[in-house]
Amino acid sequence: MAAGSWIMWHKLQLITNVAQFMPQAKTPAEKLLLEELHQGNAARIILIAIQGNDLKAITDASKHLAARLRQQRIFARVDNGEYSLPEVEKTPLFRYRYVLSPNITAERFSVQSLHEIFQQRLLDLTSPFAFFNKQLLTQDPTNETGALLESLLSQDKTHSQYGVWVSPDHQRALLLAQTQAQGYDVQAQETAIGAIRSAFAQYPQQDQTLRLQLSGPAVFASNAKNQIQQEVTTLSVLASVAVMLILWLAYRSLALVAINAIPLLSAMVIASAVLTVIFGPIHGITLAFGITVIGVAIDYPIHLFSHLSGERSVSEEFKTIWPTMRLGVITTIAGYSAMTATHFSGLAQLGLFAIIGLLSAAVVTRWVLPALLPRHYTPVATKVIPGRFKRFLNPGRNAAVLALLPGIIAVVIIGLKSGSLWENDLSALSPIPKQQLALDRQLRAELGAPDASHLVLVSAPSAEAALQQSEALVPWLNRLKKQGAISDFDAASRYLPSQQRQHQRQQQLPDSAQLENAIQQALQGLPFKAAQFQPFVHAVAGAKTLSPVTPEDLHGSALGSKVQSLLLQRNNRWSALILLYGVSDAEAITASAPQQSDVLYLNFKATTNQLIKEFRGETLTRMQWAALAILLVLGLGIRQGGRLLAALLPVMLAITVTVALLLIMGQSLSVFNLVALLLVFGIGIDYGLFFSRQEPDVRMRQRTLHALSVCALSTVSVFAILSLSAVPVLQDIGITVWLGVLLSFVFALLLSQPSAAHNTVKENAVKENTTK
Amino acid sequence: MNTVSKTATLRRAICLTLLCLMAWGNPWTTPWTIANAHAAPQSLQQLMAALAEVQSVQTTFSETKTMALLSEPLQSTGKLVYRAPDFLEKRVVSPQPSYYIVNGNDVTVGSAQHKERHLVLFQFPALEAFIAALRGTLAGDLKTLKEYYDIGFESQADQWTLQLVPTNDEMQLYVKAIRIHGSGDKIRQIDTLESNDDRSTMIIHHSDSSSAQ
Repeated sequence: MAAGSWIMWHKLQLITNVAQFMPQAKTPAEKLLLEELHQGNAARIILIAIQGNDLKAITDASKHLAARLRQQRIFARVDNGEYSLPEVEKTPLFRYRYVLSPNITAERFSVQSLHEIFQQRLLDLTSPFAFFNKQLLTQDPTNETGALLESLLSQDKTHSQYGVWVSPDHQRALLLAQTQAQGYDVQAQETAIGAIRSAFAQYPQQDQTLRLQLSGPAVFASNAKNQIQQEVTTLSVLASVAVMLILWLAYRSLALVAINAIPLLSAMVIASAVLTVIFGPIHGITLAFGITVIGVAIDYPIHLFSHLSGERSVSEEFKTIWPTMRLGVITTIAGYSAMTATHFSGLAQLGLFAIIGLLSAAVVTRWVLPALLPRHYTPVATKVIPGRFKRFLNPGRNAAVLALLPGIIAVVIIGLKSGSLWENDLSALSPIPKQQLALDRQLRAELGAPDASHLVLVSAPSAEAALQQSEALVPWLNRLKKQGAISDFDAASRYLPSQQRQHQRQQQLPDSAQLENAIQQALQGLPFKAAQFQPFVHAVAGAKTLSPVTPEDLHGSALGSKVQSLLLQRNNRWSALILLYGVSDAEAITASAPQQSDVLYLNFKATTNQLIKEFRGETLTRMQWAALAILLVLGLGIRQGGRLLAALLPVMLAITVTVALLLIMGQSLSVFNLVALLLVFGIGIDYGLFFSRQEPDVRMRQRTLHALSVCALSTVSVFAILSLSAVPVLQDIGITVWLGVLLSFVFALLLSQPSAAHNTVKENAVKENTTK
Repeated sequence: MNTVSKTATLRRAICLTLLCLMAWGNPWTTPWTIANAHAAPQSLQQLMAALAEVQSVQTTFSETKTMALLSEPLQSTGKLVYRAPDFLEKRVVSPQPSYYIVNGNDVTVGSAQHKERHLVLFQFPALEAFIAALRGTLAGDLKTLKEYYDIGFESQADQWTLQLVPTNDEMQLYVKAIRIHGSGDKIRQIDTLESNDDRSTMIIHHSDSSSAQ
């Protein structure tokens, strides 16, 4: 009966975190979609399954659990398929039958019609089950309650055993719990989840074979939160240890290991503070992505440390690498600034975070770090850079040509797989593990969902107007049903007619004298005693003067929850949802849909795909602008075509090959991959710039190699650790970054060489120096 | 002394008459004696065992319902089919055809006027209890009967009577008691007394019927 109370859940498989990273809604369809994601009724529903092999045991547990949860005030409703007929007389269905029933016409109460109805009721009394209905018979001989109940029941497509919902394979009993608290109130949702778990734990099982499974938006959010918290702790400890170990091995100085963290930490603090001032509270996901993107800041001190030879003071030494580092920072910032100009708030915040973070990190590295080191400081381990890696510095032209090959292959692969290049499925963007999504889908299917991806939306300034509009659509919907475009539909007006229609029905009701008279005549030749039908006469008389039934009057009943789920209020606007079942011809619906601005046929699959496409289009447009800005900055900074190419080519190749490898691994590119590629770009451009710069002597180049090796090793380690995460988002970012950075390093090493002639001269000079 | 004995005799006579009235005129007010050992050649357990042996039953019935709603009793006739352990079908032939089939937990109801409907038995506790009375007796399933009813049993020679008084609230709303009369392993009559004192009597005609009441 509550099947309608959990409409449109399908799309909720994505959590609010992701929703915030979506573009701001422009059409009403998108708006409704996003609002429902955030705060819809559906977000308050927890799906509960009790799994076990014994049908009787799982259904008993279901009844027990439902009874326990119904006692708790944190739940607005708990449904497990149980209900009993006698209760009908206490429901609004019964109370308001003469205004709610679609059968009410003046003709219904004519002598002729009543006679036929009484005749039928007499025959019904031969039923072995007649005693259940007899009391109802004197109050409702025309059986309006039955008709209403039937229409309510006909929408419950859930399979039942022992009176409660079960999966068709009888392996699970199914329940729905709706919380009082809103879906976005994570704390309250966690309390509710805890209450369900403890109620189940207290259920005395005979052999402990029953298992509890929970699903739904709140459960996802809570799981994701716990899992991310737990993983972030473990993974960040692991990553920190790895980086510290690498730095210690490289420089053999604990002080440097500590100092190395200063720019990144200051960047995080400053960027978070600035963003909070500008935007108020920042979303967790912006923070996480932001910190990822400014991870490049860990490289800045490394460049300095590896270049400290002790021959000059620390600040003089810095001056030799500063122009290159500065160019890297400015280029990256130019790239990210293109992102801040988007209307897509998540991306804009991320861009700003990265810019402020990188700027702070660079400033701290340049002007604070040298002050923390002794004037002529040099790390013991790098006083003399071992020469054995020197040969890597001159890989030669053949190696460079060889390096282009994977790039060409990658372009071909991307070309071949361009069909699956982009991830269009919203659920694939979800940070929820795949098994959880699969369970959710299965439970929803077993509960007999309406077609979640199709919906007709009526919007109006009042509930009454929305209901009237829905009623006006019924002939169209019936036509669609007749044509076979849909198998059925469900609308709030089916359960709660507009006041206008209620009023029309009231006018059709006879007055007491008329009805009594009609009953007398209708009973001619039938054994019924007319006096027995006084309750009927009273009920009709009462209904005639009843004030119109409103959604509030139905509150707390099954009928009410049905209406509540189909008639939504948002900021003084009302939306009536018309659910469609078994949609087989979406085009026929679109083609015949009324051309009114307040009636919308929504195809959610199409809408969400559209949203994702728009988002991606926006990101790609921004990336083009970013590329243009980068070219401009680099061009101004380098003013030398050859070196521009040498700085840019490696990272471009690395990104291309990374994308190709991801595609080969069966992944399509999502927003997370794109964010990760932004970081790869920031890091890779530094590698290209450093490797391609003209250096005074070969020892300096060795130092550059040392610095970049330490950078690459630490970044690859950190993101390889991140890719071990079970959270899909972190996994995606991890894999993309470590692949991209590793490739950037290799390509930069192979391709980014300063002009050969210049280098040879310098090398000879060094030889001369050393022989002296 | 004489007056005393006269009064006593009179009182005894009245009591007897009342008892007879109770016993035959209105069977529902009879004080129930549980399993009268002296008069019972068979025990409840033996009866149940005998009934459990029966794999299928096909009979006709005629039913009379007396209710406050109607100025005269409502008569109907039809067929009854039972197959062990849980299939039960009642087919009303007159005054108008309709059918009621219980198969496991699924109930199917249909007639010329109403399109076929499917119910799940356990969603309607009262219906569940009612079906349990019929199916439990036919199947000789004492355990199920005890789940829903206080059971009274009486027998004399081949004849026996089961009285089922509902113990669950749902059923008590509708039914005061069900009385099932039979002989040997056959059910001969089912009387139902409803909470509002409406009554129905269903007489079952077995093809070999010799002693149907």
